[in-house]
Amino acid sequence: MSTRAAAPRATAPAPAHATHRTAGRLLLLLLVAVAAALFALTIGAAGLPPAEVLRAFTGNADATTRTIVLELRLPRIALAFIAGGGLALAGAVFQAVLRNPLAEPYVLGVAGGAAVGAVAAVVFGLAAVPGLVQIAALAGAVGAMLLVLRIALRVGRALDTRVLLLAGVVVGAFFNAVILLLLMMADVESFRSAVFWMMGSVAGASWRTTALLTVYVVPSVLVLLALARPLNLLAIGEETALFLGARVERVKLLAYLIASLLVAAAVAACGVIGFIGLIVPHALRLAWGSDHRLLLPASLLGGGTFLLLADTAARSIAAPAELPVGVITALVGVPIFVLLLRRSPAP
Amino acid sequence: MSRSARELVFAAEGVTFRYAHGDRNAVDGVDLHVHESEIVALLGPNGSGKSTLLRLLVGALRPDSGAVALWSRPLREWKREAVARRVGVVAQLEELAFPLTTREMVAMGRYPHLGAWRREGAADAAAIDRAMQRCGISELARRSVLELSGGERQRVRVARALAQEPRALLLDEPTASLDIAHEMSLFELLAELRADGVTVVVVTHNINVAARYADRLVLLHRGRTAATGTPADVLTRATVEEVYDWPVMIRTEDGAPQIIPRRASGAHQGERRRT
Repeated sequence: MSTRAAAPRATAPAPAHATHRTAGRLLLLLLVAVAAALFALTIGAAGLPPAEVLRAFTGNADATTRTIVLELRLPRIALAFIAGGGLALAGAVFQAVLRNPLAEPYVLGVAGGAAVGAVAAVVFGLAAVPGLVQIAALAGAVGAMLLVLRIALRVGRALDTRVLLLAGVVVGAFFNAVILLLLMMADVESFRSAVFWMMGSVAGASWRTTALLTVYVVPSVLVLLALARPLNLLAIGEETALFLGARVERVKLLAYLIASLLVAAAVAACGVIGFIGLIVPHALRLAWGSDHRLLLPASLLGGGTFLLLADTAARSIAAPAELPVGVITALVGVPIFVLLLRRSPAP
Repeated sequence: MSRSARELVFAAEGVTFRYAHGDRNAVDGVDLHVHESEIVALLGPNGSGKSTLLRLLVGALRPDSGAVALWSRPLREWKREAVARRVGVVAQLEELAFPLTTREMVAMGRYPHLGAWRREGAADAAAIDRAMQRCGISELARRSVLELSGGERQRVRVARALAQEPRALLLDEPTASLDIAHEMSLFELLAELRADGVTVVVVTHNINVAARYADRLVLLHRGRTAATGTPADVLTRATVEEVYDWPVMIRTEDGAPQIIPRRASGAHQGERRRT
């Protein structure tokens, strides 16, 4: 049979090379992440020398140093990394599911829902209760997710991603109006804290928040990484993906729900930190292509590192004052992105 | 070997399908039986239900009534991966959301064999390389699919279906954007595949090429089967003129009937030919 007779040609890269290249790139990102975390540990308002920071780990430092390093900086670094990674991963997944390179984690209304929850908690004077703002934000985010999904599923039996996108955008706009209404009713103090919440920050990091987020993020990440191949197929079209054996409806629904929950958790913990979920996956696509088997874990590592470094800048540039981290992610991220865009052939 | 002795690959019994806002059934009570290593061409005017029938055969659409079976097993009992391991589809429209290289695109044909986690092994790489070679696109391996011409892109998609190593191939107007040489070489490839035991169902508007390569033609008209059988049975002047609502002449070349549509004013053209 002639199909079996032809010998493989040498022009195409052998799959082993591709696998090694993927592993190499991920290892590189991991090393950069570790280096960034170590660097961030030594930076801060207290001006601790690196040797002193090291001693905090070995137990030879004084109590203040130990508190600063182990209870303030370390959880904050961990939270920034997890939240940034989760947002970038969710952004990459949304771009694939919606087949739209402009999609980002907040495009489907999840952030709007979270903000309504958080702002309502602040405005109605419930912010003093520990953890309540986060719970309200999480409830708002999950509510928004379910609302958008319900609208999208109502229109047809199958999940039409164009309807999903439209539903997300209009629900987001509706929530924005609700937020403005809530802010109108707020006094100056709650107005201020509501606006600060919406800017996003990892300053409130504690080991408890970080641990909660980790428990939540790890399984979500595993599920999303397992969807990498079907998401590759979705990029060439839903019908083609079906013809190639993907269970398209299940993949879309699962990817949408898990990515939304990931965003909900990140927003509840840190507020609405912008640009990471759009720019990080995009920059990685431009640099390394759109194979989601590489793109998804790379977005996780890259997004984590990016937010971690942005937060380090936010807390040290004008120390002891803090800049909103969302401002840094945009101010630094956008020029880097433009540079990448100009260097690459048109997508 | 007689047709009935060979395995039944696709069996559609009285399938009917209407689109949500359609004013008539797109496919209306069609029976279709396709046997192993047969080339069957679905012909018919625009909107006659060819593409819809193709989608029904592979389960991209569910019939409102009637039943479809693959290898004598009802379609609903098949898992998507299992269908994709046996049936390759080259559909009409496809829009890439993100850039991919030619090889990456063809490699997607291995998905039904690999699932979510399994690594691409030597057998997969060999299948991909073989498919690219058969479609004459090995040299394009590292090029972005978005940079390719329409014809090259079409061959990439055929190669992707071949990388599935399917036992049956469904193609929806696969030569719509191809020049004569590429169209003919694609049909030559289909004939080769048929000799290897692959079953082929192809939707096409090129009646003459279909008549030369297909074992059987199915002529659809407003969702129904107008005629079915060998090219000589189906392509009679009366049938073709009725279905396409246009005057034609029929010649026989290479033993196959060939259609020549007449100019609207037959007399005028007749005069011209005489000169």
